[in-house]
Amino acid sequence: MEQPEIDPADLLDRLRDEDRILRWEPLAPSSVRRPTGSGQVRSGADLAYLHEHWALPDAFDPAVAGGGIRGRIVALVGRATFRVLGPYLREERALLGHLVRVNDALEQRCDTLTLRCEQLEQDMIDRQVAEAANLAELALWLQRDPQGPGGARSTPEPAHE
Amino acid sequence: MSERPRAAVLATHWSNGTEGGWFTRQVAGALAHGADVHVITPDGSSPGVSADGAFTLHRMATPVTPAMELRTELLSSALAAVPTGSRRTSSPDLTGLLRPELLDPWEDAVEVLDGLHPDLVLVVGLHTLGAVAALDRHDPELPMVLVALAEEREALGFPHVARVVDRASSVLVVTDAERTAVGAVRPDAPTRVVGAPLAANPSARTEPNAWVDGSEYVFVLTAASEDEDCTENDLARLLRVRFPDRTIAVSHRDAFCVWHGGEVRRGWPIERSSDLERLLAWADTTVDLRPGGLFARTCITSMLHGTPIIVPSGSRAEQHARRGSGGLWFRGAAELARCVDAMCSPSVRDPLGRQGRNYAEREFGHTGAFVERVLTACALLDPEPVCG
Repeated sequence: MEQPEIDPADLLDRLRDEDRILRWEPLAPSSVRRPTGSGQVRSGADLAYLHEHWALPDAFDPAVAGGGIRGRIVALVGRATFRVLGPYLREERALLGHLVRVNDALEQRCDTLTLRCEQLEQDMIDRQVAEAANLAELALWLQRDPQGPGGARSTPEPAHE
Repeated sequence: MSERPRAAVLATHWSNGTEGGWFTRQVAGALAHGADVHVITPDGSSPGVSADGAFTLHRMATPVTPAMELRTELLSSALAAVPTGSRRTSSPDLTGLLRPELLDPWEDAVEVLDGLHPDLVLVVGLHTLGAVAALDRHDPELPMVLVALAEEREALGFPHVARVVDRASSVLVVTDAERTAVGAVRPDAPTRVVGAPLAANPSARTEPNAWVDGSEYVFVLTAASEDEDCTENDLARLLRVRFPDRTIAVSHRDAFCVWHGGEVRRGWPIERSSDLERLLAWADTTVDLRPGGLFARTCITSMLHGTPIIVPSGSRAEQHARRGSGGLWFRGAAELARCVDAMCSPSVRDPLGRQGRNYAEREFGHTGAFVERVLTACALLDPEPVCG
């Protein structure tokens, strides 16, 4: 549908009339945004590798020994070695498991804090820009001609919470 | 076949660099449809005759130096500062003071005119008294048409201006606003509004706009440097602070700045007319803060692309916004902010853009009509059929 034609002179008159009504008010305190992301994995590939590889082998794999007499000797030595070192390897595996979990938790905490920092910085900039715009609005309102057809300048409303 | 008439165009400068220079070339081009056009100018570093497109260019190499122009400008500013009612319009001292600028560069023009024997002379500029003097010495009866070039801030109170206007059988002006300015010197001046031939370049809108991301921005034009302390920059600053959620693209003399959300991206100044036109075509609104000018060509180009304009009240551009209903005009900072605020709404912006485009196409979009108006104003010529 065709939009109605506009007479700029009429429009300007209307704007000037509207200008005599207070259009400025103090900015309400801005609500600080809550962090939106639950986790931000910055080194996802490394963490995934840790999760997949932290469980080291706890027994000798005969397949790697090969065949023949040489293979049998290697398998024999391998089994003996794992049997002797078994308790230490299990302890080490448990330790690695704990280290991976701690690493995981630290990573998540770091990401949360980074996100929060970025949001706070952006909130501060947004607020600063909004304050400047609002001050400009106030300056324009103060600058306008107080003598309209209605007479005196309107008074500011109380500040909003 | 009858011989084509010969027209001489006497112009202080022959270049496209200003609105006046561009318009002069358009008038000469229109004249070339009905006459052989010879351009006589003090410009040039060495005297000579050469072809320049459809014209024959006679360079006298007696140019008005920058120092002379500065002197004229200073005197014009001083005179413009005097209230109109108290101006002395008949003082011979001012003309004497400006003699080096007004008369000396045109000393050799008589000789050129004697050699040409033109049927008609076009004098370019209200201050071109030297050209009129040369014309009178050549043939005081020869018809003369004046291309006024009465700029917005022109000091028209010089006595020699009235003399130049009085000598003309027709005074060509671009707009009604310019006609009013000439009428202030001589109310009965035979002015003819001829408009100007302008067309929107379609590729300006179809090619990508590399200057500003996206197409929703307010394009602010200033004539000042970015760091200059002046009203234009104050207004531009106000807009980008007042409308942080809008993209405000500001063209300065030495930089192009794109503001959004309190952050700025700086770039090279806009130098090519094609870049300027692209920015005008892609913008939501054009805010032209630049003072002066002959007929606000940039604003017309903006309107041809359907981009509404916001301009200072009382400027030449106001005529386009008012008559063409293609934009708004402001009297101060507060009104400027209100106008931009109103333009943010498509229900205001779109109709104004559409109305402005209709006006600009009607008034300035027809080259053929412009040529015919020029030829008609130069009544001695027998115009050939005009195409376009």
